[in-house]
Amino acid sequence: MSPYGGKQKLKNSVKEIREAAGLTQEELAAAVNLSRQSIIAIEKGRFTPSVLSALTIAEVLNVSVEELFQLKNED
Amino acid sequence: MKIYAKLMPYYLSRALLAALLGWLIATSSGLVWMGIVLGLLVFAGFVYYLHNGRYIVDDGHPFFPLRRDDRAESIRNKALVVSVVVAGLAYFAIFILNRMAASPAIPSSLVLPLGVVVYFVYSMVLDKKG
Repeated sequence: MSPYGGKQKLKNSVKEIREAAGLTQEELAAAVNLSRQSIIAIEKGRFTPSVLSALTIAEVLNVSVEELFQLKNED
Repeated sequence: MKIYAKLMPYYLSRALLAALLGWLIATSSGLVWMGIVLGLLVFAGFVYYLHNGRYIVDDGHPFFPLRRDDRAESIRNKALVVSVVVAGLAYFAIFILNRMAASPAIPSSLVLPLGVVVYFVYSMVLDKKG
């Protein structure tokens, strides 16, 4: 439970923003020093990257971290 | 499958290693076909590890180009813990069973390959899950 009430879940727009930037998963992985499987897992919401990786992805995709990752109420 | 030209030293050194292993198996067992098959399987494993996308490929180090990122490190650590626990429990179970039996029936040397298998299988499960 978050202090704001309700269970929260991390959503992300990495896939949409990456595709809009014209990058493949492999290219993004190489640019942010992560493996291709990690990018796949992040896009599917199965893996939460470290703050450093999130900031690097945001920098490479030229967006803010808030545009990439959002907290959403589950209910 | 993309062949990394810069990583030719990786391909060649692993091919050499696989051929050496195949030759050792063929000469020690006398089964040439087994040496060839196992050598090819080992080389395929090396190529798979380079191309499966689980590791960062650092072409600045062509002989040892595979690097783990945060996720791969976490998978490795979890799989290591589980494999050590399973191997420990198996060793304990074998010890008890052998004490109960009239003559030791299960060799405790089975624990090491069991731990290795658990490590690789659990790594794969974690990799699929996230």
